[in-house]
Amino acid sequence: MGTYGGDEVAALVLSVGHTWTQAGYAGEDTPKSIFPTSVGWVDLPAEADQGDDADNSEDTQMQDVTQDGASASDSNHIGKKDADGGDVAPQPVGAGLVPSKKKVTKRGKYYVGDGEISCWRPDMEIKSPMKDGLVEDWDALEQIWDHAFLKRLRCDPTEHPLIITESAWNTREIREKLTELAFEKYNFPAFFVAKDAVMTAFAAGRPHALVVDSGGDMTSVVPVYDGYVLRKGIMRQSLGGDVLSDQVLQQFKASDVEVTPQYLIAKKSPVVVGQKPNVVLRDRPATPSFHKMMQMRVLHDFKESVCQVAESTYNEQNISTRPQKPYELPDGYNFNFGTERFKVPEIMFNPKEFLKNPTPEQENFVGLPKLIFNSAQSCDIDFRPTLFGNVVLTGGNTLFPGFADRLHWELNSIPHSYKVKLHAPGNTVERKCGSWLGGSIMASLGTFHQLWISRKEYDESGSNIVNKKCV
Amino acid sequence: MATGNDVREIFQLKASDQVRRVQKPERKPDGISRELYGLIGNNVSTVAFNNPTYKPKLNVSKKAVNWTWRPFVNPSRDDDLVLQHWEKTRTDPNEEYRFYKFNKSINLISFSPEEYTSHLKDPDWTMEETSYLWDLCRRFDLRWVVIQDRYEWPPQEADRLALQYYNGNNLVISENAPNVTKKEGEDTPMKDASAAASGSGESFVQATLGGDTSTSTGATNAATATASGSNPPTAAASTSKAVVSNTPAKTRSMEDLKHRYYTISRILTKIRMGDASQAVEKAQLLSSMAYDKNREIERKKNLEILNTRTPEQIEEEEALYLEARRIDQNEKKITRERENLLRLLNTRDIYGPGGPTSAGLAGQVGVAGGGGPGTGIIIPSNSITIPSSSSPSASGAAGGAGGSGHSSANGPLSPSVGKGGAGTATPGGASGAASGTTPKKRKKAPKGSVQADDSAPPTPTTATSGANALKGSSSSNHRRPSNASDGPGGPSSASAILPPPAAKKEKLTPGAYLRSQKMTPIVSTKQQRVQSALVTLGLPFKPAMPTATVMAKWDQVQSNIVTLLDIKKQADKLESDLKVVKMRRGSLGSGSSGSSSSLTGSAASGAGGATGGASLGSSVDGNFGVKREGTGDESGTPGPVKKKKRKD
Ligand SMILES: Nc1ncnc2c1ncn2[C@@H]1O[C@H](COP(=O)(O)OP(=O)(O)O)[C@@H](O)[C@H]1O
Ligand SMILES: [Mg+2]
Repeated sequence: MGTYGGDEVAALVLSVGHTWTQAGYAGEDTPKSIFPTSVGWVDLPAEADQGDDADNSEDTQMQDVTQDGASASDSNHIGKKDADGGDVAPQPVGAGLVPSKKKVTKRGKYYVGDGEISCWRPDMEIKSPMKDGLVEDWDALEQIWDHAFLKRLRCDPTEHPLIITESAWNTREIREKLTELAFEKYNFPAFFVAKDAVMTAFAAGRPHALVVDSGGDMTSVVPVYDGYVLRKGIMRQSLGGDVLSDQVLQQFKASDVEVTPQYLIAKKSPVVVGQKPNVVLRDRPATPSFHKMMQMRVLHDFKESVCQVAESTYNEQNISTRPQKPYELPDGYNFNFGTERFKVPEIMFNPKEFLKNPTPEQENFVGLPKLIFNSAQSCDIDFRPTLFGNVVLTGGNTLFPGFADRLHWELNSIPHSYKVKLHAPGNTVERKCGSWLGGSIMASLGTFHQLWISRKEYDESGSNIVNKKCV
Repeated sequence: MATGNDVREIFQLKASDQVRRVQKPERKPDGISRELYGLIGNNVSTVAFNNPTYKPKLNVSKKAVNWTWRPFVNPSRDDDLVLQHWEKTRTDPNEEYRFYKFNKSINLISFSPEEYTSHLKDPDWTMEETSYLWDLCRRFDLRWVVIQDRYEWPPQEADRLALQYYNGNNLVISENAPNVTKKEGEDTPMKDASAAASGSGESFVQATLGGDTSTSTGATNAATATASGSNPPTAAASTSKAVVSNTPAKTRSMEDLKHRYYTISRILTKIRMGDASQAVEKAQLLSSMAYDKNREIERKKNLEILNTRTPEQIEEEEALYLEARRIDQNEKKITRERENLLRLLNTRDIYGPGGPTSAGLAGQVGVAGGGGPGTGIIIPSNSITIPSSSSPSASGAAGGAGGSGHSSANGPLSPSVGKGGAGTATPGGASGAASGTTPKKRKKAPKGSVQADDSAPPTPTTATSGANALKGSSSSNHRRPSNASDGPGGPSSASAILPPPAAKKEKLTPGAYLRSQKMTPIVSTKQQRVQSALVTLGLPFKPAMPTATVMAKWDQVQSNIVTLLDIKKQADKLESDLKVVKMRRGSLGSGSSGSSSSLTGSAASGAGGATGGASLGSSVDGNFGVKREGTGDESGTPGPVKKKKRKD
């Protein structure tokens, strides 16, 4: 045990990303629970609570199978692991803390978790607490924490230290508020905030790394030196998986294809390739944000199952010889996709050419290789070879087949004389949960325990302590 | 002999069947070979058969180690945070936390304000800033990359407090340190890019974000270079521009910081370790603190240049490197080839004009400058056109010849001088005559002395011409045409006193013989080509009237042809070599004009070097014009190579 320096204190690790929230116990290799960061919010008069449950059960049946399966297996998974009697015995739910599902706050109700938010409710708005890697909606974030600790992990926060990950450009104010939340609301005995880039490097076993993280809403490149983020080298832009999915939507629109999410479909029958769908729709008025989310899910799924990155430069001729891939939208429309499936992820590498109808902000996007190169270039010259030798790829948006090959190819074709080594975990979970994993490793190290912010320190110095201890 | 069974018997144990079976293998039946029987026979398998052994079961008798879930405190912390973990049940309740020993921090020499004022002042630094630097050094354990990244003077209030918290025991930064205009909380999400910007200047971030790679690689100061470029700034860049705080923070390069740190450390060490007893230790410490800022800056500048080479440059460098290595490796081979070539050209002498008489005659003719008997034979040489010999490369080989073996070429041609050049008798002609007089020398002497040797034994009849020739050829040894043009003034004494080499006597066949029999045989492999050359020249395979003169000339012609053929072969090879080199140079694309000029330059020098060749060329005019060209070309070949080597 001493050889790997582990000393597990049953710490909790929480990583709230733009798309996914991951929660679990330090020392484990996968988060116990992964659920969408988005929360549903229904604005209602305090007493109008009845009838909702009935709606709920009816709707759940209409969920598409995979979603149901996913959420079911998710909760099973947790139950099983807890029952297995891992290093932590099942914890009784904290006495004063009621599970937050449908907990009435102010004049409305929050819905958290995959099963809850993807369930149609006429007035449910979908919102995300995170924007640009920063916490924007604190109420929603609290809902997420509640859901993670009380509903998913079902633990007593007063018994576990908590480590959370934050973006490298998080602000002092936000971290102080997070600290307050951890100590004031949940009474964690100890707390720590770690940079997600550092954690990703950690998970990759590298003290120095150039962490390339492409998630749902943004892509960032962060140089890490011996566990410290180099702030001057942080490069990021709001080009992530969501933009790509949105481009897919635009492509569909351009070819006059309607993307109808599952919740609107009552009945469909098979149609010939490329023909208009034969579908009966439900009359389900929904909020635009809900509709958008459901539509995006379809698009994400399309993108994840069909799209691919050209391994070297994009060459329309070569690509047209590649096999086509069929895909069927929820309404039954199906088609074989050829070059289109290469064009979408190409945006990551050449936004100027492939991003259609860009907004003014999007016009300034640069390709990922350039972003990486610029980041490394802004670091000390003696450190650059190390950075290029330790490029770590993380985030769901890097999971396109061929992405790593292409990036490697691109980085080598930029004129410089460094040797580029790309670390891209082949394991999907590892790629998506890089920062969580790093937190899990770090919080189970014996040498780490002197870094926790303790309750006592918090009481003495206030929430400001986080800016002193977590750099 | 005691077997295992005997032992068993002694100990009254039951004999083992198994062992016995092994001991008595079945006999090989007759009529079947031993090898075959070994394969098919009913014998012991060659593969050892082991009974599978199973791992011993878990030893349950051993008592399980007790683990307990218990709270612990970590002495590395100054609060008494109690965490819980599983650990082996302790025997010693006061055992120290296992990871305490890893809590190490570096030892930084600190200074007092008095020391600062008396020793450490620097016009560029205030004491506040210096202690800020010290705090950062302590905070980040001298990780300079991080220190430089976080360095921001004046520091933000929160940063200052954090540092103070961390380095509680250190100098107190004076309270009037200017506060920073902005609070982090009000910043837009994009703030961090700007935070970075405020550290190293706005243009830097903008450049790194929006900078075009190609331009940014060009200059050492990539940042400023691209910032001035017309690249559209990226979103982040433009935001950062908007958010950047207007107080221009003092920028300190890593070299500035390190320089300050090491200077102070050195001074403090010197002060503190005044003791003579510590001299060695002190010297060691001081040397470990040596830091040459300018050298570091220079080094990084060079590194930057090194790293921003374009692929073409890298490629060129690599090609040059490879080329250099290739040259190194081939040098021997080339010299060997060269020697072969020389030998080849010298061997011409072997087949040279037959007897001394004819040679002498030829020489005389040449010197006399008259039409002479030679003319008739030479005429064909005017029209010698071997296919493709007109290509400059053909001449390449000839050039090789020209370098040192020219005199051999001279010999047979000298008569033509007499014919064409009439009485002018150029030195070339003279030298030609010289070799003409002494054609028999067959020893392949080192190039320098060849001709001197050759020309040394002049026959009495050609004394004068011999002297001339001596002069000509000796000067041609020096490979300087100007020398050759010195004319037949004074015979070079050096050559004159050379000991006469043992001239090879022609073997006299006893009895009567046909002259045609004495025709120098041609190597069978070359025969066909020589013959086809003869056909081109309109000559029969054998002279119709083999008089002594005719035979001598015939031999000359034949050996000329052989030489020509050999030279052509060589030239073809060199030409293809040249082509390869040229192609490579073309692909490198570096100053082709420069190298081409060098090519011509070396061609000229080559021509110059090839005295004999040049003089020959000028004397023979059209005849071997090809050859003359080649002279330049051949020696031109190594031209670019040499140049590259030099460049390297
Ligand atoms: N296999 C995949 N191929 C392509 N894109 C994927 C894949 N899996 C997830 N994504 C995309 O990655 C994005 C989510 O990134 P991720 O790093 O998992 O979350 P976060 O935004 O929380 O960082 C989504 O836009 C999703 O569509
Ligand atoms: Mg992420």
